[in-house]
Amino acid sequence: MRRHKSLLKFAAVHLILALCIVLPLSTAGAQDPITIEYWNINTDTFGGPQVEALIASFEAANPDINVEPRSFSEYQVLQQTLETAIAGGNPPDVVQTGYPYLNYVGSSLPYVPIRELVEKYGGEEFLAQFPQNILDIPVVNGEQIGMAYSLSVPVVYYNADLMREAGLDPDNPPQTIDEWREAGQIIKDTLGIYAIVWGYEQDNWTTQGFINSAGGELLACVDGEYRAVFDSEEAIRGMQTWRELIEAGYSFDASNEEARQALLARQTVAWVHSIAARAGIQRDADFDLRATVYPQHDDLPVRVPAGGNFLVIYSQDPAKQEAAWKFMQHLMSPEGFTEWTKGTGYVPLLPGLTEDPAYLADFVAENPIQQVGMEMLDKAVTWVSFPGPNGLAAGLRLHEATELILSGQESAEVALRDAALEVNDLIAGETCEG
Amino acid sequence: MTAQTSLGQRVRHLLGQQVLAGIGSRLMPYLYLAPALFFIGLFVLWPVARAFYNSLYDGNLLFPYREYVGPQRYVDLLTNPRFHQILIQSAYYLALMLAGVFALPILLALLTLNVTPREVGFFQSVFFLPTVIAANIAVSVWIWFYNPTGGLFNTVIKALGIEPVVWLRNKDTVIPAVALVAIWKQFGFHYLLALAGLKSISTDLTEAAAVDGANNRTIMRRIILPLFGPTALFLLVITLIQGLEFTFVPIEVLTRGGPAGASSNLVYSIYQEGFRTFRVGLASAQSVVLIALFGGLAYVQYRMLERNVQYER
Repeated sequence: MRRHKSLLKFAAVHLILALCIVLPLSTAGAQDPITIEYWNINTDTFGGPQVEALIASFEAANPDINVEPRSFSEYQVLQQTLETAIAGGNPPDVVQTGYPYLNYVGSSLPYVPIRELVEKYGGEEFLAQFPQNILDIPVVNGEQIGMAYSLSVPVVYYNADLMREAGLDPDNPPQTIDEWREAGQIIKDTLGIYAIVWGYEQDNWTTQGFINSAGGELLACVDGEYRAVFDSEEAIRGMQTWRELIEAGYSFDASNEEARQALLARQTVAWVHSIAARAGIQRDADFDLRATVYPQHDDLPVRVPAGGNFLVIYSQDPAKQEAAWKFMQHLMSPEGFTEWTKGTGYVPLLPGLTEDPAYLADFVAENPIQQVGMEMLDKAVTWVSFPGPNGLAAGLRLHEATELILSGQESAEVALRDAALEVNDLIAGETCEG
Repeated sequence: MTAQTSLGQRVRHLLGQQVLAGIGSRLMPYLYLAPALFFIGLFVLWPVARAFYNSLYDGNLLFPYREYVGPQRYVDLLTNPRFHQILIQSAYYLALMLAGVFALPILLALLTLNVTPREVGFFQSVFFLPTVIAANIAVSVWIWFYNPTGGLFNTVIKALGIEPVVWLRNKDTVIPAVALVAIWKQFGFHYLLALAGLKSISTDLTEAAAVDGANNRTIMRRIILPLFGPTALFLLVITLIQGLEFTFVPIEVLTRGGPAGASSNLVYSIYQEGFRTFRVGLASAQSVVLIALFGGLAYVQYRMLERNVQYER
């Protein structure tokens, strides 16, 4: 009997102890905020502080959600890490994705479609704020795979002091390729430096600007299938123009970073780059920095690819999906876009913000460089994303052709023709409408 | 009867013990090896088998088995001119690496063998410094050296009245430029190994030879070089097997394989296909070719060179 009593005591003590341990844990579990990850390409010098500020304001309004940002140096590194995270069953929740990855993500990654998010968690009013053409940007095979978030266009940043030194009028900078040629000769003769430099990377953003502005295209839909058409006469002429500027000594074959360094070190008068870099370059330049529009080829309309990124949700857990969707709506709210545009230079995608004194009207009025970016908006076209699982390899072939042309190893005609043949092999069978 | 039974039982017992002991003694080595074999299997053989399996399919990291391609993958790869170019560039890199991190460290180790310990310490520190700096940081310094406008090399060249060179965007200069960075980074470690190998040769042998009238050349040819053989063999194998890996970070940081693939090699190409264009099947096939080539190379090296290497006994 005594033995039974002691056993009962023993069990009761252990039960109480166990409850003491388990109850706080379960209560804590119920109160624990949901943590979501936000992967982006914003570093300390490029939008990083704005990401922190946007997360802080979101967390203040949503104390039950924690957002952990993870920054990558570039889209490619982010994309590579994303694949391994998804393969490991631990995907991030909200991811910034560069437009060249649009078709790849749409065809090869397990994103959560916007349609599904709206069905589950609402958000029709949020979507209704955006023009249809903005909503259509991240659409692949009829499915909206994310939300267009950052939009940038190229502008020409220039050093007005150097222009003055060369005897040119910085208030009337060159507006066409021919005018830049003339200015290039003057700058070369008087200062012995480059006039205008286009940096380029593997994303073909700069290449597409040259081809489109010369009247060419990268892709076309022929008989229901995608075809590479960047070996057209117009495209060849566009790339040949770029090469000629280098050969004449008005420009040089440069990466974005090399071109940026050249501008800051006064080795070039102008650098053609994204308006998204506006805040960073304004901070680093110790001279009279100004901007003007992208140069026109002959009398052709300027057409430049819209750079930037769209946001995609990969959460599989419903609670995280809902939190991620809320966070995405915060980033794209009027307050979110105001913070984002001021800190980076990206163009806000909500109509009316730049005219609204409560948001960006004063900022744009006081910032002539941002005004140039706004002026360029109606010249923006879709940044081409090559279709299918070989789409990224196809993009790389075009980049290699650019390298061959600019380094003078092959003529524009030969390099573009060979690359188009290869790209057409890589994207063979990829269907399109139109 | 009882005596017979107990004798029979004892005989059977003894035989059983012997058999068990025999089996045990045969199994024992494998039991000792089992943990090592398990990890080799898990971390070496399994990934190799998996790479071969993946190479037969098209797809990315997430859907690697989407479409069966089969052996045609290898036919396509081995007949692709782009892949031939990658192989030629890999051989070029290896030749430069052999000169820079095999021959040169040995030569310098021989030259600095008889200097004072203080001077040796100085050389070791200077040569070894790049090895201990993190690879991407060390290589980043070279971005400035090679910068086409304000870089160190072009500033010097311009001062000499020579036309500046776009080092990393010219297909003729890009591989030597990238290899130079890899050599600079790896040289010090190989120099230390070579010096240690040379210093481990007993001075008794060289002094005895000198007493016997051997001149420096004979001592070098007959004593030092043969006894240095194992170290040289090790350095050679390391250089050939890892030579392409040494160039990986410089390629990634400086050129990303450009211009137009002119600075790529087999190791970088695998990375590019697997992690830039996400064509895991193609990257796996290239990995299998790499394993076959370098596995074969290592085997031939050992078979050929082992005969000519003398170990001190």
